[in-house]
Amino acid sequence: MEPRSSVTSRPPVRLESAIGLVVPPVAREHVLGDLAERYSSSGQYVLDALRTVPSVVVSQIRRTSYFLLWPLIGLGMVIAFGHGSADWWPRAVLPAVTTLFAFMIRDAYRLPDLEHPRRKGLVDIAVVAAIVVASQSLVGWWQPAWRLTTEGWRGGAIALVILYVLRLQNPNGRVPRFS
Amino acid sequence: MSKQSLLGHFEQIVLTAVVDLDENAYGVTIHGAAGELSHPRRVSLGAVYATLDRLEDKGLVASRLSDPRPERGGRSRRYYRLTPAGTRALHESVQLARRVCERLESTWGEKLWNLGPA
Repeated sequence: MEPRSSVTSRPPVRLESAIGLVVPPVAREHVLGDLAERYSSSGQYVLDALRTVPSVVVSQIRRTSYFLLWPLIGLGMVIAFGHGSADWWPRAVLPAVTTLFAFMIRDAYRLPDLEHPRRKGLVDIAVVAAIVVASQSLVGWWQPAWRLTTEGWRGGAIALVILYVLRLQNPNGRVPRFS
Repeated sequence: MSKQSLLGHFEQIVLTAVVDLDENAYGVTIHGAAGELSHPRRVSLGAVYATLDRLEDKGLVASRLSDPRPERGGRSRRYYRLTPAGTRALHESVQLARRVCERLESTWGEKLWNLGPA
Protein backbone atom coordinates (compact mmCIF):
# COMPACT_ATOMS: atom_id res chain seq x y z
CA MET A 1 0.00 0.00 0.00
CA GLU A 2 1.42 3.34 -1.03
CA PRO A 3 0.99 6.16 1.54
CA ARG A 4 -0.36 9.51 0.54
CA SER A 5 2.54 11.93 0.18
CA SER A 6 3.13 15.24 -1.45
CA VAL A 7 6.20 17.41 -1.49
CA THR A 8 3.96 20.50 -1.43
CA SER A 9 1.52 19.30 1.27
CA ARG A 10 3.15 19.79 4.66
CA PRO A 11 1.89 20.76 8.08
CA PRO A 12 2.52 24.34 9.25
CA VAL A 13 5.92 24.58 10.92
CA ARG A 14 4.60 26.07 14.15
CA LEU A 15 1.86 23.47 14.45
CA GLU A 16 4.36 20.67 13.86
CA SER A 17 6.75 22.16 16.41
CA ALA A 18 3.98 22.45 19.00
CA ILE A 19 2.98 18.83 18.56
CA GLY A 20 6.63 17.82 18.51
CA LEU A 21 7.04 19.21 22.03
CA VAL A 22 4.62 16.61 23.34
CA VAL A 23 6.18 13.64 21.52
CA PRO A 24 9.03 12.01 23.50
CA PRO A 25 12.37 12.88 21.85
CA VAL A 26 13.28 9.27 21.12
CA ALA A 27 10.16 8.91 18.94
CA ARG A 28 9.87 12.48 17.68
CA GLU A 29 11.64 12.11 14.34
CA HIS A 30 9.68 9.21 12.90
CA VAL A 31 6.31 10.04 14.49
CA LEU A 32 6.32 13.61 13.20
CA GLY A 33 7.53 12.33 9.83
CA ASP A 34 4.68 9.80 9.64
CA LEU A 35 2.12 12.43 10.64
CA ALA A 36 3.55 14.80 8.02
CA GLU A 37 3.31 12.09 5.38
CA ARG A 38 -0.40 11.68 6.15
CA TYR A 39 -1.03 15.43 6.19
CA SER A 40 -3.93 16.77 4.14
CA SER A 41 -5.15 19.73 6.22
CA SER A 42 -4.40 21.36 9.57
CA GLY A 43 -7.62 20.02 11.06
CA GLN A 44 -6.87 16.48 9.90
CA TYR A 45 -3.28 16.80 11.18
CA VAL A 46 -4.39 17.90 14.64
CA LEU A 47 -6.97 15.09 14.85
CA ASP A 48 -4.39 12.57 13.68
CA ALA A 49 -1.95 13.82 16.32
CA LEU A 50 -4.61 13.70 19.06
CA ARG A 51 -5.34 10.08 18.16
CA THR A 52 -1.67 9.08 17.90
CA VAL A 53 0.55 11.01 20.31
CA PRO A 54 -1.07 9.89 23.60
CA SER A 55 -0.38 6.25 22.70
CA VAL A 56 3.22 7.11 21.86
CA VAL A 57 3.66 8.90 25.20
CA VAL A 58 2.09 6.06 27.18
CA SER A 59 4.20 3.51 25.35
CA GLN A 60 7.38 5.45 26.09
CA ILE A 61 6.41 5.74 29.76
CA ARG A 62 5.83 1.99 29.86
CA ARG A 63 9.26 1.36 28.33
CA THR A 64 11.19 3.68 30.63
CA SER A 65 9.51 3.38 34.06
CA TYR A 66 10.32 0.81 36.70
CA PHE A 67 6.72 0.30 37.82
CA LEU A 68 7.60 -2.78 39.88
CA LEU A 69 9.86 -0.63 42.06
CA TRP A 70 7.30 2.14 42.54
CA PRO A 71 5.71 0.77 45.76
CA LEU A 72 9.15 0.49 47.36
CA ILE A 73 10.34 3.88 46.16
CA GLY A 74 7.01 5.46 47.05
CA LEU A 75 7.12 4.04 50.58
CA GLY A 76 10.69 5.25 50.99
CA MET A 77 9.77 8.74 49.82
CA VAL A 78 6.75 8.89 52.17
CA ILE A 79 9.00 7.94 55.11
CA ALA A 80 11.60 10.49 54.02
CA PHE A 81 9.15 13.36 53.47
CA GLY A 82 7.21 12.45 56.60
CA HIS A 83 10.29 12.65 58.79
CA GLY A 84 9.63 14.76 61.83
CA SER A 85 5.91 14.92 61.20
CA ALA A 86 3.13 13.00 62.91
CA ASP A 87 0.66 13.34 60.03
CA TRP A 88 1.95 11.61 56.91
CA TRP A 89 -1.30 12.08 54.93
CA PRO A 90 -1.26 14.17 52.85
CA ARG A 91 1.83 16.08 53.95
CA ALA A 92 4.27 13.28 53.00
CA VAL A 93 2.18 11.43 50.41
CA LEU A 94 1.72 14.41 48.07
CA PRO A 95 5.44 15.10 47.51
CA ALA A 96 6.12 11.35 47.29
CA VAL A 97 3.54 10.94 44.52
CA THR A 98 4.87 14.08 42.84
CA THR A 99 8.39 12.63 42.92
CA LEU A 100 7.27 9.38 41.30
CA PHE A 101 5.27 11.23 38.66
CA ALA A 102 8.18 13.59 37.94
CA PHE A 103 10.59 10.68 37.47
CA MET A 104 8.06 8.95 35.19
CA ILE A 105 7.79 11.99 32.91
CA ARG A 106 11.50 12.79 33.07
CA ASP A 107 12.52 9.25 32.11
CA ALA A 108 10.05 9.17 29.21
CA TYR A 109 11.30 12.47 27.80
CA ARG A 110 15.04 12.17 28.37
CA LEU A 111 17.56 11.12 25.79
CA PRO A 112 20.32 8.88 27.15
CA ASP A 113 23.71 10.50 27.54
CA LEU A 114 26.17 7.74 26.81
CA GLU A 115 29.18 10.02 27.36
CA HIS A 116 28.13 11.70 30.63
CA PRO A 117 25.60 9.48 32.40
CA ARG A 118 26.46 10.84 35.86
CA ARG A 119 25.85 14.39 34.74
CA LYS A 120 22.59 13.35 33.13
CA GLY A 121 21.58 11.67 36.38
CA LEU A 122 22.27 14.90 38.29
CA VAL A 123 20.09 16.80 35.83
CA ASP A 124 17.32 14.21 36.37
CA ILE A 125 17.45 14.73 40.14
CA ALA A 126 17.55 18.51 39.73
CA VAL A 127 14.49 18.47 37.45
CA VAL A 128 12.53 16.24 39.84
CA ALA A 129 13.55 18.38 42.82
CA ALA A 130 12.43 21.52 40.99
CA ILE A 131 9.05 19.93 40.25
CA VAL A 132 8.61 18.94 43.90
CA VAL A 133 9.52 22.47 45.05
CA ALA A 134 7.08 23.97 42.56
CA SER A 135 4.32 21.60 43.66
CA GLN A 136 4.95 22.49 47.29
CA SER A 137 4.53 26.17 46.39
CA LEU A 138 1.11 25.31 45.00
CA VAL A 139 0.27 23.19 48.05
CA GLY A 140 1.39 26.02 50.33
CA TRP A 141 -0.92 28.43 48.53
CA TRP A 142 -3.87 26.02 48.47
CA GLN A 143 -3.54 24.26 51.86
CA PRO A 144 -0.78 25.74 54.03
CA ALA A 145 -1.27 23.02 56.65
CA TRP A 146 -0.11 20.41 54.11
CA ARG A 147 3.29 21.98 53.50
CA LEU A 148 6.41 19.95 54.23
CA THR A 149 8.21 20.54 57.48
CA THR A 150 11.91 21.41 57.57
CA GLU A 151 12.68 17.85 58.61
CA GLY A 152 10.56 16.63 55.71
CA TRP A 153 12.55 18.72 53.23
CA ARG A 154 15.78 17.38 54.74
CA GLY A 155 14.50 13.79 54.53
CA GLY A 156 13.37 14.30 50.96
CA ALA A 157 16.74 15.73 49.94
CA ILE A 158 18.56 12.74 51.45
CA ALA A 159 16.15 10.38 49.70
CA LEU A 160 16.83 12.05 46.34
CA VAL A 161 20.58 11.68 46.86
CA ILE A 162 20.05 7.99 47.60
CA LEU A 163 17.90 7.65 44.48
CA TYR A 164 20.63 9.33 42.42
CA VAL A 165 23.19 6.80 43.65
CA LEU A 166 20.79 3.90 42.96
CA ARG A 167 19.99 5.19 39.46
CA LEU A 168 23.74 5.34 38.72
CA GLN A 169 23.67 1.53 38.68
CA ASN A 170 21.77 1.84 35.41
CA PRO A 171 22.53 5.44 34.40
CA ASN A 172 20.67 5.45 31.13
CA GLY A 173 17.63 3.68 32.49
CA ARG A 174 15.49 1.28 30.50
CA VAL A 175 16.69 2.62 27.17
CA PRO A 176 14.55 1.38 24.30
CA ARG A 177 16.55 -0.87 22.03
CA PHE A 178 17.04 0.41 18.51
CA SER A 179 19.21 -1.54 16.11
CA MET B 1 6.02 -23.59 22.55
CA SER B 2 8.10 -20.93 24.34
CA LYS B 3 6.42 -18.39 26.59
CA GLN B 4 7.64 -15.51 24.45
CA SER B 5 5.92 -16.90 21.36
CA LEU B 6 2.41 -16.33 22.78
CA LEU B 7 1.55 -13.41 20.55
CA GLY B 8 -1.48 -11.25 21.11
CA HIS B 9 -4.08 -10.87 18.39
CA PHE B 10 -2.95 -7.42 17.32
CA GLU B 11 0.72 -8.37 17.61
CA GLN B 12 0.11 -11.09 15.04
CA ILE B 13 -1.52 -8.58 12.72
CA VAL B 14 1.35 -6.10 13.04
CA LEU B 15 4.02 -8.79 12.55
CA THR B 16 2.17 -10.06 9.47
CA ALA B 17 2.05 -6.52 8.11
CA VAL B 18 5.82 -6.13 8.67
CA VAL B 19 6.47 -9.41 6.83
CA ASP B 20 4.12 -8.44 4.00
CA LEU B 21 5.72 -5.02 3.50
CA ASP B 22 9.28 -6.35 3.54
CA GLU B 23 11.70 -3.43 2.97
CA ASN B 24 8.89 -0.85 3.06
CA ALA B 25 7.66 -1.51 6.61
CA TYR B 26 7.41 1.73 8.53
CA GLY B 27 4.70 3.40 10.62
CA VAL B 28 2.39 4.64 7.87
CA THR B 29 2.57 1.52 5.68
CA ILE B 30 2.32 -0.88 8.64
CA HIS B 31 -0.77 1.00 9.80
CA GLY B 32 -2.32 0.67 6.34
CA ALA B 33 -1.56 -3.03 6.05
CA ALA B 34 -2.76 -3.73 9.60
CA GLY B 35 -5.98 -1.90 8.83
CA GLU B 36 -6.57 -4.11 5.80
CA LEU B 37 -5.91 -7.26 7.82
CA SER B 38 -8.19 -6.27 10.68
CA HIS B 39 -11.02 -4.97 8.51
CA PRO B 40 -13.76 -4.03 9.42
CA ARG B 41 -12.18 -3.16 12.77
CA ARG B 42 -10.38 0.16 12.57
CA VAL B 43 -6.78 0.46 13.65
CA SER B 44 -5.16 3.58 15.05
CA LEU B 45 -1.62 4.66 14.23
CA GLY B 46 -0.97 5.08 17.95
CA ALA B 47 -1.89 1.45 18.60
CA VAL B 48 0.51 0.39 15.85
CA TYR B 49 3.35 2.37 17.43
CA ALA B 50 2.62 0.95 20.89
CA THR B 51 2.56 -2.60 19.51
CA LEU B 52 5.80 -2.09 17.57
CA ASP B 53 7.44 -0.79 20.76
CA ARG B 54 6.26 -3.88 22.65
CA LEU B 55 7.47 -6.19 19.91
CA GLU B 56 10.84 -4.46 19.87
CA ASP B 57 11.15 -4.81 23.64
CA LYS B 58 10.43 -8.52 23.25
CA GLY B 59 13.13 -8.77 20.60
CA LEU B 60 10.69 -9.82 17.88
CA VAL B 61 11.33 -6.83 15.62
CA ALA B 62 14.27 -4.52 15.08
CA SER B 63 14.21 -0.99 13.68
CA ARG B 64 16.47 1.53 12.03
CA LEU B 65 16.14 5.18 11.05
CA SER B 66 16.36 5.95 7.35
CA ASP B 67 18.04 8.92 5.74
CA PRO B 68 15.98 12.15 5.85
CA ARG B 69 13.11 12.18 3.33
CA PRO B 70 12.12 15.42 1.56
CA GLU B 71 8.46 14.39 1.31
CA ARG B 72 8.37 14.19 5.11
CA GLY B 73 9.87 17.63 5.69
CA GLY B 74 13.34 16.18 5.94
CA ARG B 75 12.38 13.69 8.63
CA SER B 76 13.50 10.09 8.65
CA ARG B 77 11.36 6.99 8.55
CA ARG B 78 11.77 4.23 11.12
CA TYR B 79 11.84 0.94 9.23
CA TYR B 80 11.02 -2.30 11.00
CA ARG B 81 11.98 -5.86 10.23
CA LEU B 82 11.36 -9.22 11.87
CA THR B 83 14.18 -10.71 13.91
CA PRO B 84 14.79 -14.50 13.87
CA ALA B 85 12.90 -14.68 17.17
CA GLY B 86 10.01 -12.77 15.61
CA THR B 87 9.93 -15.14 12.67
CA ARG B 88 9.80 -18.11 15.04
CA ALA B 89 7.08 -16.52 17.14
CA LEU B 90 4.92 -15.72 14.11
CA HIS B 91 5.49 -19.21 12.72
CA GLU B 92 4.37 -20.79 16.01
CA SER B 93 1.32 -18.56 16.11
CA VAL B 94 0.38 -19.60 12.58
CA GLN B 95 0.81 -23.27 13.48
CA LEU B 96 -1.36 -22.82 16.55
CA ALA B 97 -4.02 -21.02 14.53
CA ARG B 98 -3.97 -23.82 11.96
CA ARG B 99 -4.42 -26.50 14.65
CA VAL B 100 -7.30 -24.55 16.19
CA CYS B 101 -8.89 -24.15 12.78
CA GLU B 102 -8.55 -27.84 11.95
CA ARG B 103 -10.01 -28.89 15.29
CA LEU B 104 -12.97 -26.54 14.99
CA GLU B 105 -13.58 -27.59 11.42
CA SER B 106 -13.78 -31.21 12.51
CA THR B 107 -16.29 -30.25 15.23
CA TRP B 108 -18.36 -27.55 13.56
CA GLY B 109 -17.86 -28.45 9.93
CA GLU B 110 -19.14 -25.90 7.48
CA LYS B 111 -20.69 -23.90 10.32
CA LEU B 112 -17.19 -22.63 11.13
CA TRP B 113 -17.22 -20.55 7.92
CA ASN B 114 -20.78 -19.28 8.33
CA LEU B 115 -20.57 -17.69 11.79
CA GLY B 116 -21.43 -14.20 10.63
CA PRO B 117 -20.05 -11.23 8.67
CA ALA B 118 -16.23 -11.23 8.32
